[in-house]
Amino acid sequence: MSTSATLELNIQGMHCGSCALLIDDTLADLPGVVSSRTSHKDSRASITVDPTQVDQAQIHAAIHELGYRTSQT
Amino acid sequence: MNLTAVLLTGLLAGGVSCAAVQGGLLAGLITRQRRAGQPATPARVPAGRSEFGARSKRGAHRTATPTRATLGDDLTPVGAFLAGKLLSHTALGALLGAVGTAVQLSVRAHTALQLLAGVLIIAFGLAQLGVPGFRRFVIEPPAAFSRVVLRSTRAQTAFAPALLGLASILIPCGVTLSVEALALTSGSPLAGAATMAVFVLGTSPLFALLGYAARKAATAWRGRLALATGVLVVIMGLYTLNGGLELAGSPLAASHLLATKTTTTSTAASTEAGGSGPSPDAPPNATVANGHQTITITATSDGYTPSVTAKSGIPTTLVIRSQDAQGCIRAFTIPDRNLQKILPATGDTRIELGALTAGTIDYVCGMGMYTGQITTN
Repeated sequence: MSTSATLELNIQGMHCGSCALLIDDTLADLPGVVSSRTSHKDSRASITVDPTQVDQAQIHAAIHELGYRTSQT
Repeated sequence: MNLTAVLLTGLLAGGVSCAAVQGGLLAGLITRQRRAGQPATPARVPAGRSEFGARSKRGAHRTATPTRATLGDDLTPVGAFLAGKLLSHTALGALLGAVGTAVQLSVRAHTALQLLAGVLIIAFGLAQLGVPGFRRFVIEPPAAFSRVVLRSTRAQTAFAPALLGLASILIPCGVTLSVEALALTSGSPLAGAATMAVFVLGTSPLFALLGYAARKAATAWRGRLALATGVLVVIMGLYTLNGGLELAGSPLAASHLLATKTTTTSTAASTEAGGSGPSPDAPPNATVANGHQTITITATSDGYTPSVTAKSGIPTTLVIRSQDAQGCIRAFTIPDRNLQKILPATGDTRIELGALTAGTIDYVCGMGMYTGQITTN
């Protein structure tokens, strides 16, 4: 069994509920991402990952590619 | 209801705001579907997704590497998505119009609703702009709604794009919400449906373009989107709020603010001209015969004409002559008298006003967009 870790990120640039969904939708396609919940209201994403399959840089890169800025909480 | 303004809102704001992001969701769905149509490969695309154009048609190329699909292949799901979106939004518009009409039974309740809607929309806009203290006004769809939408982006059926379009009603952005508020106050189920339909149709050209160019193209200006849509939402909020103020007969309403600036000059001009009424050739719109005064106002699709001057102390009938009157113009309202009459599209409506006293009577359409005055000397 692999272990899982939770990543909390601040995300800037979201302008409506669809943005949060887009981030969750994209992250769900990344191998090693167990689940993610992004909130437009809180400008924040809570992402559960399997650290053996995905590293933080990949998560950040995937979100950056969508046009949003990230920072560690 | 001014559908041109709604269309422009859709074209300019709706197209670049939520729609651009929903385009991203649709792109993801199509990518997954087409990938599923290819032989199972253990490797998944690591980050992001390819764009619409970079995928092979589902099931058509089972062995080859993804071939660049033609524009036509991509427009089918985009069209299906937009059709689904149009359907759900039009239905909601009709529902909102019906609810609004029910509430509109009382002018007072309608005025309160419209004022509240205006204030809320302004708050949404300020939240969007990141004004401190307005953060809690950010609208976030309930988690259950988000799950429905995310699930529909993973469906494998041919109807999936249309289903996602239907589901997009669950994730409205600020601009969509303000248009929904307009639909609510539009005055009829039909006008509500038309408002939402025209808005969605307005969003489609940019949606198709941005959706096609996919996620990355939209990212460059996403930061500015928040600003642009925020400003637009505030403007729409002010517009809605002003409609409420007009209905309430508030001195702060735009028509009154403008009137106080122009009245002095126009009164001076009309005194000099020695007459009442806008042009000497126009038939008199307040006539007295046999001790009874009749005031005539024309209601067209552009509003009411003209503002009239009447005499006090004479029993008076107001005749509103509809000439292809449409939308909220048909909800003729005199707020001070708590009176509202639904006018026919064409034909006369008679309202007994009794003997008038000196002063002004403001009249306004059901949404507070079009106004006029009866001035009694």
